[in-house]
Amino acid sequence: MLKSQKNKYTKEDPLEHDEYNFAYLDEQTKRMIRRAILKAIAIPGYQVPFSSREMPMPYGWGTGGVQVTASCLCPTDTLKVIDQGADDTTNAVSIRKFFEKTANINTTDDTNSASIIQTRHRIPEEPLKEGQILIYQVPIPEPLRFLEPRETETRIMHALEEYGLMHVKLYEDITKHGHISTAYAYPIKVEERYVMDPSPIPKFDNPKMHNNEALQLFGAGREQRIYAIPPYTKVISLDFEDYPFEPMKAEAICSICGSNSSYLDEIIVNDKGDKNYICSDTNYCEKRK
Amino acid sequence: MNSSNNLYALESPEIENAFFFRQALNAISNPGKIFDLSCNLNTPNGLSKSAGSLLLCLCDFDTPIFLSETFNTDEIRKWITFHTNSNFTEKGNCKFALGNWEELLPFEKYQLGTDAYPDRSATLIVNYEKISNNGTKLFGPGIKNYTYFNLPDEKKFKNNNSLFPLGLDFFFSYENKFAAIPRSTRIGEK
Repeated sequence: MLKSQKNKYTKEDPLEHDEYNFAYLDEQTKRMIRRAILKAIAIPGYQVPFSSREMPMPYGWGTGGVQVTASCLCPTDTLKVIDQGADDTTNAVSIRKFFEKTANINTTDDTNSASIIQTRHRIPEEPLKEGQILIYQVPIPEPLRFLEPRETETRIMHALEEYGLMHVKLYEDITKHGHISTAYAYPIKVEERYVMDPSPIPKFDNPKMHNNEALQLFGAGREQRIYAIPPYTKVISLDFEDYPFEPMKAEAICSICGSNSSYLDEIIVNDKGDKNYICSDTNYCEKRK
Repeated sequence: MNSSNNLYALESPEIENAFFFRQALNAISNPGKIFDLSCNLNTPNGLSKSAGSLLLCLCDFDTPIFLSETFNTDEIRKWITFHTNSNFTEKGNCKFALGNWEELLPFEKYQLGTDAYPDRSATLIVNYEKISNNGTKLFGPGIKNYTYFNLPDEKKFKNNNSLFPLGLDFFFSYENKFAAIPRSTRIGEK
């Protein structure tokens, strides 16, 4: 699905250049978002408020991620977009097309050759490299939101580093289920300071955030927050000494590529309820086939 | 637009600013690493290309700028106003400050952010000849193992880091070169 080189952004090519500013957003909006991104990197894990714009797609479709991507994008970039690990689902395809149209950049499915990867709910299986940027779409950026609905209170809790409530939540998991049952959006602590929501990635992906070589940016459009994890940053998943954090995946192998180490999607294959498992990361699976 | 005409700093601002910002992004996510900005940017006398690029991609009417004495010239003020429409202000109100090291002191005067909103702090662009990767040992987010940077005053940066999550973020610029030291960077030994 690699896009050909013909549509490179040039000043001489009036085709789509005249219809949109480069990467859709106007320059003033980009500057505002760029300032927020720099502060977010300077304070890893802290949610920087920004005045999110309406985008030509509904909230919940990655408007936050799209705005961060638009503000970071250069004409020389190669963009990959994934939704639950897949390059070919509706959300991924439409965001990729959006940037092909408004920024005339090259796009790819290949994790390794992408310079910017926008993702919904997964981190690619292939390790990321220095210089790559991983941009997450985030629905609820506040990890404490379901424990304390008031923004004024959660803001104070972050200021005072008061995260006891989060440990109580995990403890209640244990008392109810015998283990920490939180399986996605598993809370993390960044550089021993801010507790952060990793976006609804499976907890299987949490360890990949630690010391990652790539820059990780998070955009929440509806909630108007941007946050970041710089490269080589300490990220730990919250746990207890006697109930340590455990990444989790289905006990099976991929029925297409045979991988026993990648995160798997469960597929019901017939009316009897028989199951099949395939890699959630389609590019990883494709390369191994 | 004609690039030989000094009025215009950039040929296509949306593209050049995207590249400028990417460099700034790389710098702040790799503290201490020195970046080289090669581009055709016409800046007025005394203003380095790298500092100019930061102002262009980050500043507008929402970001009051403090210019230290050396940089508070007609030429530089006009250039900044023309391209960014920013206002000029004192240390205490600025979002960005531009100057030589000694002129930017003392740091207590700038906005350091608040406990609830640590992002509401100033970013200082220091004109600094001695940008080089020797001198003080640095650790922290964005740095693989450790790196070195020739800081003008180790103690002040230690103090700045001790305020974390509050504090100031620094860019060092000279001619084409620039590097960043955000507040998260730890100074000296681990």
